[in-house]
Amino acid sequence: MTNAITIKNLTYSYPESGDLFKDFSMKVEEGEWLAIVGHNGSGKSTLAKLILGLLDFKEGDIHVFGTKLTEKTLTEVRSQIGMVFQNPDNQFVGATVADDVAFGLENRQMPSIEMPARIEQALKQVGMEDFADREPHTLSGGQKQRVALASVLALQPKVIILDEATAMLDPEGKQAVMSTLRELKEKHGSGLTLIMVTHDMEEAQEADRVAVIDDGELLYDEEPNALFQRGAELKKLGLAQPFAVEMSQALGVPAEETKNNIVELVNWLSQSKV
Amino acid sequence: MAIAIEGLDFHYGAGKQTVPVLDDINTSLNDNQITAIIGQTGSGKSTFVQQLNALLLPSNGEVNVNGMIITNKTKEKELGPVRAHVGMVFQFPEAQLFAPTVLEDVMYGPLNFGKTKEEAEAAAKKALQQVGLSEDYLEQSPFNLSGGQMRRVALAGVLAMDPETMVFDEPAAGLDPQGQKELLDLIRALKEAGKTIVMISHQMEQVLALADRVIVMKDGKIAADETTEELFSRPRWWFADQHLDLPESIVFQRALMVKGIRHFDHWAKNVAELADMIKHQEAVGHRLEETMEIAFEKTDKEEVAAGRMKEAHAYHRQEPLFDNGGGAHE
Repeated sequence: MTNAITIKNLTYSYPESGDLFKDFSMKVEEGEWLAIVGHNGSGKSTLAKLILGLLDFKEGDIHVFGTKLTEKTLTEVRSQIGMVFQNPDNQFVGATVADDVAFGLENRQMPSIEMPARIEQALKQVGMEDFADREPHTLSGGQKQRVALASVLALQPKVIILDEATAMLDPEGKQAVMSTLRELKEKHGSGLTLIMVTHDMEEAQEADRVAVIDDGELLYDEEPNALFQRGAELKKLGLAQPFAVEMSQALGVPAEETKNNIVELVNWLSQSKV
Repeated sequence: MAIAIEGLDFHYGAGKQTVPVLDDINTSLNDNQITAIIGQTGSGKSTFVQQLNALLLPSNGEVNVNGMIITNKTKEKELGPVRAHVGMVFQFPEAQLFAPTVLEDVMYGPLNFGKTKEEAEAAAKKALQQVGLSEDYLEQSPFNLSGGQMRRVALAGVLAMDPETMVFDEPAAGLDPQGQKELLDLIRALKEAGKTIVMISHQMEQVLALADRVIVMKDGKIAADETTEELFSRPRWWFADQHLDLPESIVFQRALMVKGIRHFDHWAKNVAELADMIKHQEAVGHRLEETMEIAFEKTDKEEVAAGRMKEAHAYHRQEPLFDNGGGAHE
């Protein structure tokens, strides 16, 4: 399988403080849904910015679909990656939703005759096609983030990075964004690699793989269910477990039988003597 | 009673352009309790809490803050004591930090309320201690701190004015789980220190763990105003109507009751308590009426409709959710 992103022996320091990443290596396979988790300040957002070439690093290298990230290849690399940021209010430039999606296309100098179709298709993918003429500030947080996602999709990137894109949303907004991501993943299959930076473990549960980062170190890199077994270790890292997993452990469900949702847990309890 | 609200309406604009936001709000906040305000985005929660320290004045009706009556006639210059009584911690309060050092930032409020420099400094130091920031932080720039620490500094800025009542708009939003836990512990400690707390939250787990009482807002009206125990005893369809979730622990408790696996006399506040309740209780042999089935199955629309019928039936008969009749509807 091709690697969408390969990070090799990366070293990066914050200006005026010590190394954040030291000799850090990680891979993201093409078509994979990866969650990067860690507490605030663990370096997970910085990693996303490094991949996008928004920050300079000292040593090591980053390859995106085989192309090494350098000053020369920056535009090429970025054309393959779309990014959605945390604050829904900081990423709008257009007067209407459609204008906003058009902005990125204009930046890529797409002929204006091709734009409307592309915009409509992008908005459709996130279920916002009826809002094309709305002013962005009249949208809810979840709707704004879906428009931000549409703006990214319109550019047809191979990789989308979401940097805590649901952290400022209410539960309905979160669910709308998550189900949009699920649909996108289903539709595009291996044509779309998703990297989701988050500290919400319910969200991480949806990913194929979870990378746990702490102080710039890759501590765990495994499937969500394997990771969630590490109750005490996760707590130490300032992370939580999904409810059903935490409940399983509190009830003494054997590790290999840990339940991932409430229905399984109820069934287990109905047959066992706790 | 710390704060009483009577016949409160609030709208933006006038005449034909009027946009109603709050409609006939009547309630009161009890001293030394944690009251959670919940409801969908746009339900009027934030507008409501801004009435509590007169950042917005009522269009009709009045707010009584510790004997001080606020109406639409109240003049700005009369509001000092109200603001001193009710401290407001906004959403993402760290965005409002501005001073070059942590100490100066926290001193700003007390100085503004007429304290001397010495008094303000003493109040700031005490507040920073209360939020768990050591003296090492006093001379640091607030902008070099982590998100969680910045939020504590912002919170200390309000605490330093020593208000009787503290209002929080989504205090834990955007923090990682550890940061959230620390912040909620802090709010609990403030209650124990005698403060009255009002807290807007979207996270039902937090409401369950912390709140004594809950006010649910919908379309600018109060849709429910009761103890946390009572609120979470309402049927699932009611929560769906309010666009609210039930905490997963409660969905789980309900499922165990529906399936006749366990009976409970109250809702557990957290996973540890619930595990204890399950372990120390014999399994029961018979099934409850399946009125709560919907609490457990995934709710697509038809299921909600079907469940609504079943649950509404039980609800209108005022059947207790718990079979011993205790807890929920006492």
